[in-house]
Amino acid sequence: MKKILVVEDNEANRYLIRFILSRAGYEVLEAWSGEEGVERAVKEKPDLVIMDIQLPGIDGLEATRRIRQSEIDGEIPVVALTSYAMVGDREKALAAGCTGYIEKPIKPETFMAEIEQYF
Amino acid sequence: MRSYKFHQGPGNKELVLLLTLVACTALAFYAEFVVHTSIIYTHFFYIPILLAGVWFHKRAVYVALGLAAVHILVTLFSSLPLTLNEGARAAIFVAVAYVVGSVSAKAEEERRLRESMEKTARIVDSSPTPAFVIDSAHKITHWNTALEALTTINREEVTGTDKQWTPFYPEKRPVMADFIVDARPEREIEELYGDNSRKSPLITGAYEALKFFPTIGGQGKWLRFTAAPLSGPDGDIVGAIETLQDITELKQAEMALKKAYAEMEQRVAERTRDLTEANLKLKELDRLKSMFIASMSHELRTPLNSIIGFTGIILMGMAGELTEEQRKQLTMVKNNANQLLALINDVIDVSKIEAGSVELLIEEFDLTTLVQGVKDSFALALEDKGLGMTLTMPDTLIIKSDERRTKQIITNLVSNAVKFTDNGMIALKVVKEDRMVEVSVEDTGIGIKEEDMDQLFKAFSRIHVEGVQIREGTGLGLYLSRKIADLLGGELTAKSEWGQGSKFRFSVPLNYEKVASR
Repeated sequence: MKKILVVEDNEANRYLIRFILSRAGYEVLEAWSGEEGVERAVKEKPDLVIMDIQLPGIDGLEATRRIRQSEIDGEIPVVALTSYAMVGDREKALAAGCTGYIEKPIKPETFMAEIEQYF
Repeated sequence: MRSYKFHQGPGNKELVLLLTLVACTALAFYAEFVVHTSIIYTHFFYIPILLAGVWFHKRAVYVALGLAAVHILVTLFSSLPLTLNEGARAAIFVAVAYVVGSVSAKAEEERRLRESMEKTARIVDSSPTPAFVIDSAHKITHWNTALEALTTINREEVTGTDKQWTPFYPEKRPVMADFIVDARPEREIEELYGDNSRKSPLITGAYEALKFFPTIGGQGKWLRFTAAPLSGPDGDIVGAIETLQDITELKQAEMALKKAYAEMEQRVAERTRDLTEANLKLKELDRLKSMFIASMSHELRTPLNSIIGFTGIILMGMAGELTEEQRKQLTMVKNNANQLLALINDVIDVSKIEAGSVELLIEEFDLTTLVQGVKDSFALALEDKGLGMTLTMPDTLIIKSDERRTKQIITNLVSNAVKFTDNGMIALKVVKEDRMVEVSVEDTGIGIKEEDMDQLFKAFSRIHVEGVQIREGTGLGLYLSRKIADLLGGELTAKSEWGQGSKFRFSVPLNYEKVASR
């Protein structure tokens, strides 16, 4: 079973993503802050990370950079959750080492298809 | 004052002397060689000597000496015995001529000086500039009427004394004229008057200075005073004249000007400081506003994201089967949540545009792919309303602009067309022009009345027409689209006929940067 780490501070959104992912048959790991996200990503080596950009403490960009620094071989795909109104979020996310991005709000109808292209 | 020396030809005096000399010489020779009379006649020579002594002062001595020599020579050549007596007599004549000459010279010099001083006095007295004159002994010789008026000291009180300091200083000290009379070194003058003194640029040997005298004229006065040496006939300094100009008004005006200038400078400085502070405050406000927008956009959208997400999950049946009524109501929740999200996005866009802080992201993209994507996203809505949409465009068209903003405008135009058209067709066209590309959206919808056209692009304006169902929307779409079109260097225009349909044209430069740098 593939493991996906969801780094998201909003509980409802975290639950929403976990719900969709577990229904689709993934094992879901959760982190509510950038620091915790980095720790779990390094320790548990998930198959994919879904990373919110706006997080308390270190943001999703910094967390992604730290994950990238910790890696020796291979890259865990990191998919950023970006906000439509924030110009440059996508570009910053890619520059920080994210594999791709999904724009909020999450559309359950298309969410899995968007995620699966990054494996 | 300068002493002039005029060169003059022989005057009457000289002529008389010359004639007398010639006559006396002739007489003396006649007596000596023709009639051989007594030696006494040779003394006719000495008549011109005496005359010369009286008239020409010192010069008489030389004449006397010359004639004495002639006398001796004549005596020698005339083979008359030159007696001691004769020599002594010649010597006595010379001495007498010398004494008479020098006494007379002294008297003449004094007379001239007196005349010169009197002339000076007349000039000084008639001058409207306050002035006084001192002699070489520092005694006041002149004190004019203008100075009497300035100092309230009458000439009778001071003439002949050395009290020239009294009106100006509380205790005795030299005034400028005293320094000039003594021909003191410049250094001493400069030490005493400081930066306010200088050599007169006009008069040789004169000095001028500027000073405030608190004791003069009740309130005190600013005086510009100039002291110049007076030279005697032989160039010696025999006195000094000092003129004093009352420049109080000038000085007051100057000081008022300086004060006004200083005040103005201070005001400018204060104003600059105020403006700098205001600017800092504005920058701080701007920063707070940006933070507020960023924070609000996040805080407002986060719960909406959950609402939209969960509504979607439930509608998909992932959380269990739904009844038809539940599905209908949840769809309404979802639509309204989406509308609210659009409104929040629009409001954030408006605030950014009005703050001038819209960031553009200029990159190359294929416009045809973008337009196709927009068309596809309305497939369901078109189907629901039973509308057709045609799309005419080139195979590909790479442009350099802000992709997201371009999409926002085209989506808005197509969305409006779908919203306000109930029957007929929507025609979407992309036409490449010289340096621009025009995207037009033409519909067969309700159209816009002519009187409503100027409301079309205004923020929060929604045109209501009686009998026409109100369509959903924020009233910000076209306002934003036009603003963004401007930002992209393009334009957005509309043409419409009530009841017939509308055509919106959005034209945008093929290369934003080329346009921006133009």
